[in-house]
Amino acid sequence: MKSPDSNENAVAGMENWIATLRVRNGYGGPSIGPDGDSLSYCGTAFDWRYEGFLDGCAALYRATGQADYLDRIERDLRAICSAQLLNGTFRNSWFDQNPYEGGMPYEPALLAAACRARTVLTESGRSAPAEFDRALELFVETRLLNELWNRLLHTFNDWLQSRFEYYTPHAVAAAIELLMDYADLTEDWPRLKPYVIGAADSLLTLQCSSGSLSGGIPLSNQRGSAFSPAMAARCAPALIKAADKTGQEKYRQAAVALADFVRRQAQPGGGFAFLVFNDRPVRQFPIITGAVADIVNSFERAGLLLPNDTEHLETFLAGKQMETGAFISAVGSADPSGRSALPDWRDILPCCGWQDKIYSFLARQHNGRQGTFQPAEVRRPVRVRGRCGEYIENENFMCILNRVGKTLYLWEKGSKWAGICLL
Amino acid sequence: MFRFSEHRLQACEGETGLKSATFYDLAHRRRSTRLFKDKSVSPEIIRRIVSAAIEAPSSCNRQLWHCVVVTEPAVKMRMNKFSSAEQSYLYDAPVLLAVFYDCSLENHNPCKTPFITAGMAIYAMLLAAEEEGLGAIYLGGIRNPAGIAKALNAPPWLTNVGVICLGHKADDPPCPPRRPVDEILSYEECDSKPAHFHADIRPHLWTLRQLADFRDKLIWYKGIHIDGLTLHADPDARFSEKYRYLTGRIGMLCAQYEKPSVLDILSLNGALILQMLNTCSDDIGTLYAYELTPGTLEYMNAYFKTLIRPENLQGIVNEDPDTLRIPLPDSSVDLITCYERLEHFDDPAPLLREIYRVLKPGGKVLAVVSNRFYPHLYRYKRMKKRKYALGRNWNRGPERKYNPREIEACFRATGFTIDGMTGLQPVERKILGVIEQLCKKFKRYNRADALAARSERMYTNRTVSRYLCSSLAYEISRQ
Repeated sequence: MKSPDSNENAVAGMENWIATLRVRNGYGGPSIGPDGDSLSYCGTAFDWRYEGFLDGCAALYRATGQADYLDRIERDLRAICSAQLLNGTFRNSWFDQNPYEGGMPYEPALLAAACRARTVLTESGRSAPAEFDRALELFVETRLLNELWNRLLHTFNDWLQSRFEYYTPHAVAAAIELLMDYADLTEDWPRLKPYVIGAADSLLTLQCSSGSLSGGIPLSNQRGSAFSPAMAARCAPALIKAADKTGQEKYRQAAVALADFVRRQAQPGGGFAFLVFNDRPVRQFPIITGAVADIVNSFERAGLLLPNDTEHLETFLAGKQMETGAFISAVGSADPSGRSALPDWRDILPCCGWQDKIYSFLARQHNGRQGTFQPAEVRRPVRVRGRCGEYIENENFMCILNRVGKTLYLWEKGSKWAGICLL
Repeated sequence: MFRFSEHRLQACEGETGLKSATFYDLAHRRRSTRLFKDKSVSPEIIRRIVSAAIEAPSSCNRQLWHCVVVTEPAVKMRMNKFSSAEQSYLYDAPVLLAVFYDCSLENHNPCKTPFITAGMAIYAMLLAAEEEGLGAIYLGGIRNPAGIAKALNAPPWLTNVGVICLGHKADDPPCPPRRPVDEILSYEECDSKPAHFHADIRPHLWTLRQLADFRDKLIWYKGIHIDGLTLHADPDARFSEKYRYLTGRIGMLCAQYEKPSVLDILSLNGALILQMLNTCSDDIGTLYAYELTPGTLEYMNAYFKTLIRPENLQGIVNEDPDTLRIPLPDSSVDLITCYERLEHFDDPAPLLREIYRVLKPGGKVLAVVSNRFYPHLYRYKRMKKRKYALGRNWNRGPERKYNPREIEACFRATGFTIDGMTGLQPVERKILGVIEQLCKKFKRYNRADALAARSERMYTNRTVSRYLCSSLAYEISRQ
């Protein structure tokens, strides 16, 4: 990635890996996230993985001019539509909590990315699938505005009915981005404006104005909530867009302060702190590779990207691509102090919902030349339940063995369920 | 000013006696509305609705009602804070009618007339709301009604008897099945029908009829719009780790057969069925939902209708109200799921025999049972405080727990082979949670984080200590 050629090769590697993750009508595989793991269900999921895949395809289309990427966008938009349920939500949209519908921020993030991809399609002279506009309308009108809009707090909830005084800023930000895209498509800004302003203001009310956390937006509006630089950064594009659309500079100032906060959380060894607290030391690990890329992607979408940000990420990613083409998932999952010599299996096992962020970043750096990548089997010693084990992945399966060679986890690529899941 | 009595008289004009089709239609039409539009209700309409309350009979004609109309978000939030109501309608409905009654004169009334009086007024208001074309729901399950009084600065002599949420309907809920009149009506004396519900809150001590009746009625109480974290009712179980484990196992088991026929035993609100339809409907041949009453299946259909159109789902109902019999031929199903349902029977053998009968040779059963040896602390706490209100605690308390050896013996006696057992939610998790809190207290944050990460990964347990898990997931098969 440091050299001009290696980026193209890295993209080729990632495309190779992504192709092995194709399951019927989408992208599958186990999911590992901050809130849990979805290891048994490995079938198609419709969550924020499409952000990176669609943005990446759009960037690669711009870089290479190859119509293949537009075909992929069309295929993915159709797949998204086919996954919609009658109430507007999407099947298997909770990422690390799958299989479950109604994922926040995953569903609005998915559709916001789909809207961006739709624009690329139409700009290239193609028409977007007709069913996409219907799916978008159903989600926004039925789910987002009718069910998730909190009339008291003037923001978006994560759930249909409960915990009504609770909201998560990065989910609200995804909803804001989607609403503004929807407003552009439907030319219905006057009706949607109060929702956008209310939701954007709800982000501002949570932003810290002083102290070491100045500029930060916490993970939720609950008292004592931690600050996640990665999730906070996801609010920046929404704030900038809101500033542009409403003309209110306070949103732009908030986004700039937010970006400063996130940059202050950069760690000496690369990446950003996992969690920052008001009343306790920073929790540095795990540093999720995809989340670091997502921060840079968010800055880029917000127009707040600095050359240092890209360099920081490139340095962080260097040497982390594996033989299959995927990048290692994280650093320091096993031990929050980061002292463990052996990586945890979660550090290695790559999943769609994070790898797509790296793909999107790399795709933007692409210079249009075809890269090459020769995939090979990955074998890594890992920690499994506190003991030594081995992670093996090739184009056919992902597998984790314990120290005596017993299979603890096996996913045959292409299948909907793990064959063995003893983790 | 419009008075309910005038309206009633108009409705009855020309009729003989009290046969007012309008009234019966109105009573039949009324439903509990749980989703409201963001549209205000005019003060005139509210006045008319409250005017219906003053027409209601009252104990000794005291008429000591008082209603407080709440529309301000800040007041609603205060009400929620003090009462721990945690019900979305409290926020969603544009108007709240907090109903109070002065009970100070009738504290010792053996018939609890103040509450009956208030109840009659509340029903009158619910009907009036329906007549006005509005939706309403009475919230009686508020955890701390005194908090409502505190939030609204009620004087000490007024007792809060609940809140009516009022507004324009945003949904059209289906009608729950009603008991036939003959079931509740007798002449001259009470008939000798057996009790609908058993006085004991432990469902495994009930008759099959009582269990069926309870399930048939209870299921409707939270409406059909269920979300992941509904606090006022049982949360959507699908969101729990247990369900994620179950869904995963069911999917993995389904993958072992070619288009298997699957049977789910007494799913209640259909959560597990919905998960199967969402994730493996393409892989399943027919999915049978076995229930004790048609009403429970009706509920499931109404619930699913908001999400999917289940094509391969087939509801089947127990035919004989006194005998468990799955209406399927022998050896007709590949896979059976039974999630904490053996607990509802004092003797699980009849149900297990039925499961064995309909299961094909080579077929599998995923049976989850509650472990008797797990320290279900909440259970003992509630038992001690006598705080069980069956309905809210369904599925997590009073039902039977099994000694693992006892249930394993039952499986074997029926003819099943036990292929494996996994413990869910081990007791170590609870212990780690306590240590984690202690670490946080003493500012050992790294240690606390490590413990949290470890306990997160500890949901399933296959070691000897699985016998100290909250639930035991058995995979049993018919040879």
